[in-house]
Amino acid sequence: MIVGTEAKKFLGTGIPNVFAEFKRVIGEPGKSWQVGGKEITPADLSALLLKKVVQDYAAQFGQPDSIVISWPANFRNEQREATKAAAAKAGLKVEYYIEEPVAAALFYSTQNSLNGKYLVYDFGGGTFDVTLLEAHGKEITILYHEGVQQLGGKDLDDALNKLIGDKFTTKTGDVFDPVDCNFTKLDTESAKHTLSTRDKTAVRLVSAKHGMVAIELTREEFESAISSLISQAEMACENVLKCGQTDPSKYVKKSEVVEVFMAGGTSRVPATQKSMERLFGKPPKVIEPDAAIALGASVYSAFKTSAGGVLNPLQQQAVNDVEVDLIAPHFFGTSVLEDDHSGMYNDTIIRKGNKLPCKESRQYGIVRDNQDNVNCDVTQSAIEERNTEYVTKIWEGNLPLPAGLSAGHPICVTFAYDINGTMNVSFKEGECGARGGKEVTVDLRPGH
Amino acid sequence: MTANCGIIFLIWLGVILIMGVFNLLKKIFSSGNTRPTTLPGPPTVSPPPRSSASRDEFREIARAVSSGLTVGVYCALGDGHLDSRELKLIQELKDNLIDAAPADSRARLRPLMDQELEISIRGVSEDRLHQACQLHSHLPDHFKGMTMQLAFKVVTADGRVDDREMACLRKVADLLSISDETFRRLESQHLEPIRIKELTSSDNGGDNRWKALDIDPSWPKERKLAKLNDEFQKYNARMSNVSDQQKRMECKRMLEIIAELRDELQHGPKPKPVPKPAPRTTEPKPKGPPASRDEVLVGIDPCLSPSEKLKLLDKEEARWKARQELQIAPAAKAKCDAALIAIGRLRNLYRTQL
Repeated sequence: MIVGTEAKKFLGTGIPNVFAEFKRVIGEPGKSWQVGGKEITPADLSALLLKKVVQDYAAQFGQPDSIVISWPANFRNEQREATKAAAAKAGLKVEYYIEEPVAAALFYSTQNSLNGKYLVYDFGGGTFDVTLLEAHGKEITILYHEGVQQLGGKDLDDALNKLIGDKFTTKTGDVFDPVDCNFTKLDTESAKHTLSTRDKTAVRLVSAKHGMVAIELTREEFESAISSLISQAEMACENVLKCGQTDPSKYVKKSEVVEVFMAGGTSRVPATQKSMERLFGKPPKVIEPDAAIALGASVYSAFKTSAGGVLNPLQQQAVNDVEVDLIAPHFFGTSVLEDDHSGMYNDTIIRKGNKLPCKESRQYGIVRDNQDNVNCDVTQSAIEERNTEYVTKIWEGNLPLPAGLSAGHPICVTFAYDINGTMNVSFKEGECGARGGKEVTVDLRPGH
Repeated sequence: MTANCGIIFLIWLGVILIMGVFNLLKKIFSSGNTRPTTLPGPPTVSPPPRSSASRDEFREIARAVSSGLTVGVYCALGDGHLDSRELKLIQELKDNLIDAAPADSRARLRPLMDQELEISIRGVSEDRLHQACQLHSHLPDHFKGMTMQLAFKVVTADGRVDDREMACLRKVADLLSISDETFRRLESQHLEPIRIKELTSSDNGGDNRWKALDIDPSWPKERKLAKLNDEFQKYNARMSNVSDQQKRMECKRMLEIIAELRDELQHGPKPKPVPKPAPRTTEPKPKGPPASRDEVLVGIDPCLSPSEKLKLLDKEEARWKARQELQIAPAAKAKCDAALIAIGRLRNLYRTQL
């Protein structure tokens, strides 16, 4: 198995069993590939990758003291569970899981002490996440997060490839075929990196039909080609300031954001930095964007496992007794019947952004006399979605009812979310707060 | 009579539920809860209609139940013709209603339902529509919501909706006293996917994009930007939640359209993309001397002087060698080998031309 830059060279060459960007689809139902007659899921690939990383580390530095895995704040439950499953499959004993923006904030907190509201802009290779957090001394509270699952450096590469293709077409009158021109993804990335530091670059395409075709690329052209992608990131940043509120007076103002921290390799692209400067009126902080999250996560792990003995004084100070307040990462609810019976709708019970741990109960009524059971479900959504077609059902079940109940008899639904990210849900016959009554509970953790 | 009908229709409703005629029907029974919502149970088998029901009563029941068919046909005919998909949906509904009836009633019911449908297909007058909607007043309130749902389903069955069909839907909603809120919700549920599909499956530009996002192009810029942000958040969330690949692609395209519109609002319209080349009827005339096979492979312009070519060969040699050292595909590696051999041949040739 080849991992990393060497493996990247195989991308787009037609060689089978080359995989990339599978973090984008981890935990997605039905997503798998056939390799040698065996079905491989994104979690399987992640397991192989994790195993290799730890093996390589061990070969150079010995066994790691502890392992911490970071994931985007907007990862859904199934994505988090698939990541945990991948780590287990790789045989890793993971001490901690940390949300990536928290790790980035911890990293930046080792550079300066934090006090106020901060935005962590994480533009990685495959996904984009933005998190608004509040940090006062050692206490970090995540206020809200947004993410665009299908937006990453890969999309910028695709836009650059299209620009190259358009120029090739203008020059030759022919369609650009990267394979014919022996132009790999690494060549695209290389051009992108050059345009991050220089105003222009050139790529040489050698086509069997047209010979050598030189294409000049300017940063201005590249920025124009990716402007709608940058726009998507900007919209996510503006939306995160709403903190899930509908009343504009409750939105966080741009001027309240003390600083924007940039993480992820794509943050090196000047257009992303300019966009943040334009949006917030001040230049963002970009320090080791490729490694900021990993460094923050390892500082956290180092402190937790060795009481900070391996940290320098500034790092020690930054993470000493660090407290991280987490929030419910999504809206959770259940399907109920419209008053006029014209359909079902999704009723949100736990709101995204609620500080963990949280617990909410809501009382409903059965629909008809002598109803002998109730269909129950738990839904998940990134926004407060009413339409049941656009939510994910993460659990479905049934609550049997005793005989002889009248229409309107109460059913109490309780959702509880603890700080470990485990949600407990109960559907109970009877009023909320009353004892007794039949009940169905669900523990939304793997294997439960 | 009205009370009797009410009871019997409730029984019918229970029967209809068994068949799952509409998805939403599965979970619906009457209620008068003050709580905004109710938790549904599974459908139950209801007792058959009373055998004592008179022939007239039976006919009344059948008329009331089949009035939904009349409303459906009226809406389907809104655009001037009954599409086969629209008709199929109505016929399926008719068959399900008949199958859901008690076995001993089916034989009597079928001709009545067939007759109702046949008459409706010939054309539904305004009077007939009024009568059909009037019959709904005998049914439980939530039956109206179900009929309105059917009307939307029928109208959208052919994958498009025109203004005349919209007018029909509004008229039916008025006659059934459907609330604005319910109408807007059904509109969003049934029409939005069609508008999105139309927009994302073509290169539709201009005002269509604004219309699909429910944005008036005359709005001030700030209002448009705020609405674009809301729409972006909505489609971004949907893309994460839907599992259907087609719908996901539509959501992704909507995100791109929204970003393009925002970009245009802030930075002005972009230049049009390079059109894809049309297939050539004739080969283009070569300019200058023709390139040899080796020159094409290595990428040497035949118009250059021999000394320029030699300089370029040195650069090309370094580039091909560097590429050869990478772990590239066998085919690409073979191409590198061939290029380096060709460079050797060309170097000898150009030296003789100096």
